[in-house]
Amino acid sequence: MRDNILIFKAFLLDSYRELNAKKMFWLVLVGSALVAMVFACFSIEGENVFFFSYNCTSVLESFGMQFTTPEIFFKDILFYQLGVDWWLTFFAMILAIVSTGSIMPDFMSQGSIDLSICRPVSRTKLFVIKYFSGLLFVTLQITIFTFICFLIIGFKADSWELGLFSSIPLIVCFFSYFYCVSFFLAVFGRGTLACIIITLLFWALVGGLNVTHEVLTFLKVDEERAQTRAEERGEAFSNEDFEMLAKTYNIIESIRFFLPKSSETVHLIRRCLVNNAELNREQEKSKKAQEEVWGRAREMRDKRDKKELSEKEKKERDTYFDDRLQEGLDIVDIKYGVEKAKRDQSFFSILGTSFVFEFFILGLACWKFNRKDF
Amino acid sequence: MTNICIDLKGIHKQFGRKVTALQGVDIQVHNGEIFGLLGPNGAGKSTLVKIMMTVVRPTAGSGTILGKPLGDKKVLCHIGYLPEHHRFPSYMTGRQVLQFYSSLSLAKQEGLSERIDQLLEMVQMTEACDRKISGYSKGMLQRVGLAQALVADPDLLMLDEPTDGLDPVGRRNFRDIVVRLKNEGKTIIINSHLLGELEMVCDRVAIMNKGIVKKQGLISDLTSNQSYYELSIENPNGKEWWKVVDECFGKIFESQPNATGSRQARFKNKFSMEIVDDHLRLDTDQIDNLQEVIDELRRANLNICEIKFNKSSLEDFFIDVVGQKQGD
Repeated sequence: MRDNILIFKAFLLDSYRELNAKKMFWLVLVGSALVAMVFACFSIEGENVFFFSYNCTSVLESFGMQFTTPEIFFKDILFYQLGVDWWLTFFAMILAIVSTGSIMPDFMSQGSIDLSICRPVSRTKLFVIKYFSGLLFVTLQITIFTFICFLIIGFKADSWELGLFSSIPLIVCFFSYFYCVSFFLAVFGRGTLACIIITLLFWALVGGLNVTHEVLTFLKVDEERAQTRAEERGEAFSNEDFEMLAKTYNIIESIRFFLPKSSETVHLIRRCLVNNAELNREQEKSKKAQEEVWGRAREMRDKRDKKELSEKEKKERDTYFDDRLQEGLDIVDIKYGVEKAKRDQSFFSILGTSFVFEFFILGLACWKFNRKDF
Repeated sequence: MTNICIDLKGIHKQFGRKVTALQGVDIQVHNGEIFGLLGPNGAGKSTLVKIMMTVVRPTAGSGTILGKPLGDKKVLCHIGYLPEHHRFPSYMTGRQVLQFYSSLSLAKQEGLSERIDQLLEMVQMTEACDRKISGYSKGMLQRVGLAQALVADPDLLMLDEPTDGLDPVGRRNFRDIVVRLKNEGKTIIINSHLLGELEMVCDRVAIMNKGIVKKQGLISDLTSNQSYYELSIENPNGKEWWKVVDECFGKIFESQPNATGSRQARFKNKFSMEIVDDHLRLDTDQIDNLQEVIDELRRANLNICEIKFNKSSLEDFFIDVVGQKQGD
């Protein structure tokens, strides 16, 4: 045990020194600090959001960002939707993959690997410790970003939300799904550039499948609702499109089964931050916003139409606005329906299947690492 | 307690289907000696060292190192290794390199700092030890490499091309260090192309070629067979001197010269003699044998004008073993 700690400490220090020497590490850290500083520039007065003194409530609403309390605004909209979804798991992730892409190829290079392998440490142990110490990059970045956000939300919204720290293990997991691929490629003799490019391509593939899956889920929920509505009205419903959609959905779902659930893993953070009751309140508020929008539109139309409308024209106009409102409400329901469907998935199925993928890739890499002559 | 430090038997190594690096290597290294591994490029020296250090796995063969089976990881605590073309992380300083590898070697952490200071002083890197590795010259890297091999205070040291990149002063310093370590009781294996360097420090050597150990033994034993005395002889009576010599030794020389123009014979079944041009060559390095021949020659009233002793170097021996075999 003492030996394991000694080796792990040495590799951790080595990883820190390696990251410290990389400009990219500091670039991402400065980026994280800037994003957090931008968050600190927001404030809430009543139901309005200000960026410094500029009221940006309508801008946020136009992007469908609804919030019920200042706390939800800071932790869900700023921290999760902007900080995690855009900064940490997109821009910072690209930089992290590029930065860490050289760690294993450098370690495996001739003259360097001999110096580590010739020690009284088993190759498996060396492999595992090197892998985990390589995750230090994202761990440090996320910890610093989350801690700053924790302080900002604490002081701005008077809410000391410990759930924010769930982002640390979950984003490290998210990163590890791709880092293991980079590690695998390096063990099988690929150079730094190949490791980075192939890992980014794999990330794009998984991301592409996630987006396709999300869109198909949206369409599927929409079709299911349309089908239910048609059945209620006693109207005929064409099953052809639905069957095609269900078939495509199943194919994508089958492919995704074997791949890491990256978007679901990140979404788990939202589950920790926003509970179901808060989500329902958010949904109601979104619906109200739709009603207000279309109500205002109807009033404006009334004011613009100077001439007296016939009964038939009035009915047509009312039907038009009623349909648009219903469409808006449907979109809100579908959006939250998809969100709730995601919440129905268990932590185990999301992380479990992803870890199976990761263990399989790392297992293969470790087997090769153990058998390889250097 | 056995005196054998390394005992390898029948080590084979096959890379893929086509490349055979080692074809049954048997090697014995004794405790407390400096052992040299010699051979031309591709002889399998580095592969053999890497097998001992578990960097490469043997295809077949067995053996023991410091009393433990070949491939045992725990024994590596007691072995220091300087690989050829080693590459340290460029973001570390010399001191950090020693700290890092001491942890990997599971070296005692108590008093480590003092030990690192001593090693840095020994390899003359005290001044540059807090500078980044990326700014080091090849010689400096080699010095730090030697220090990292010694950081866990090993009993056995394996050095692959240790003087590569060192200037003459550095080489001399290296030789002094190696001798000092030997005097401390450490066993040292040096893998090098520089035969002159090895001859100065090694007790025993093994010459490898094409994955086989061709010769193995004490340098003095190996080179003695190649040493000889050369005598210039004159006959004051005018008769061809070699005929007088032949008569004096009882007509033991061949009557006709061989293809190279020399005549060969054995002296009292002790050593060979050869008459080449105007010289008599005695294939022995023993002074008693020389005295005996001189006595015989003087008895026959022959004048001995000059006596030369040609001591064979390790390089001569190496060329003889490897060059001859390469031509096979």
